[in-house]
Amino acid sequence: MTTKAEFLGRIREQVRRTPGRFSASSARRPEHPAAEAETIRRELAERWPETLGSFRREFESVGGVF
Amino acid sequence: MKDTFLQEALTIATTKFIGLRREAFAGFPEGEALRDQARAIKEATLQELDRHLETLIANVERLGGHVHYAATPAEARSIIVDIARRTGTRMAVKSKSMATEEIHLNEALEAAGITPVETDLGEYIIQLAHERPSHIIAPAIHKTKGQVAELFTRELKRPAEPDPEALTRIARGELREKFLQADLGITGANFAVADTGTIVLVTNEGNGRMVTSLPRVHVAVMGVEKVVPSLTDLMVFLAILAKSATGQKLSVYTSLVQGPRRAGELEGPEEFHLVLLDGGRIAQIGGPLREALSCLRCGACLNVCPVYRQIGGHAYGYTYPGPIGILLTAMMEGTPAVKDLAHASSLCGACADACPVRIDIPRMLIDLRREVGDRKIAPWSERVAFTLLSRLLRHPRLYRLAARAGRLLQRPFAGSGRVSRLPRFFGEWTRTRDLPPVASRTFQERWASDKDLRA
Repeated sequence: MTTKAEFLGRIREQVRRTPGRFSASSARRPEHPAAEAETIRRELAERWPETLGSFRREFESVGGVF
Repeated sequence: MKDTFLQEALTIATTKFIGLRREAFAGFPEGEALRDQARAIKEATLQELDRHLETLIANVERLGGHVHYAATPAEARSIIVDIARRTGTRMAVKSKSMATEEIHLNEALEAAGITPVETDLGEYIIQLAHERPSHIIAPAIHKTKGQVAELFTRELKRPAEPDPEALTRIARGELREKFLQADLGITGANFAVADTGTIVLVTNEGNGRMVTSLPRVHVAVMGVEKVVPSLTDLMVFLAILAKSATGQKLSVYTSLVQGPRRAGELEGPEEFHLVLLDGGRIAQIGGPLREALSCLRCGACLNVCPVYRQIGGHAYGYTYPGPIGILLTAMMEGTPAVKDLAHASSLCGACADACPVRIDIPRMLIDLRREVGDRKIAPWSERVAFTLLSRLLRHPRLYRLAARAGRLLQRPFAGSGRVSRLPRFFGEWTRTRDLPPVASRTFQERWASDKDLRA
């Protein structure tokens, strides 16, 4: 069976000798995740009546009884 | 290609997928920028794959899970069968997973006396029919509802109407019992989030959730390239995956699994195992197929491929069909396995346009064709033919001479505007296809003599 050291060693070796195809970065992590989550929560709450109305229209358009 | 049912089923399904995908992106102006971002995240992750995998492993273990390392499909099978035996498993329920198809897990489980039960509706149909999936996300795409009804009637010993809702109800009734009886749940992973040790499953039927929460033990199998650094990166992929695959804004279920059940939790397995699979992937981190490691397995390239749309997935002969499937097969089985498949593409570029992470599939197919030639993998007759053609195309005089010779030599065989039968060695080519005849005047001859053409 392949060990963790062998497995990761092979990956490390490939990564080490392979230049990146282009300059790239992963997505920016939020600096203040709690604050950002709170903002999203507040925005969703503000849009709630509009969202509910939209859901109702779509629901009733396919025969649903709201 | 003569199977009219197959042609009908393929045309209906792929056309529907293409339309839904187009609509989904038309109503999503951020889509193009997110595709670029997704590609950048994949590339950035590959550049530090070792670090992200170490983080993932540490977090899975911190949550109480076990991580296993499989260099080959045989190792992966052995690891999973060992887990099944140790935990006294008699039945294993599975959520749809191409990775487990790739390692031929069902056959290994059956050989060990364990009954595998596919719980995705398409996979369930395929398992009943003793076939293999013919599409990455729609495994039973080649079957019409009438064929499925006949299959259910025959295999489940109960009458079934060719109505999708009725057929789904039958499958649901059969599978509910299995979820409750199974000791082991087996899934793949659409993504694994390094920062949190989370395995992400994107499904539409809810079976993934049942497979990961009802049995005592959960095993997830994933290729090493499925890791993403953070939940923020995951959001980018979730925004484009379902749109590319089925034209949905999001899939119906996005399940985030974090290790085994913890104290106080009401559901979840007692044991969680993550099997990291190489299977040819690691060698391609620095190899010519590196870009294919970015594939999300959405199947969009299959739906738009003019070759796939005609022949379906089984004709490719390996686990992964379609244009991306040729590259993945080369990655997993080696270039000789795709010496013919590398030519099963018109190189029209539709696959690259449809790919949510903009993988340049046609370029890699051309590179594969070149490798097949350079390494002398192709049959000698094919190599001779292409060498001759290459010389003709580089020498105009020879080309003109060959065109004249062709016009003369084709006379006994050309009729009704096509060459449908060639003698001896060349007959293999016309056995399944017609050739257009050499034109009575080449373009150069017409250009030289025809004033209207030049006007």
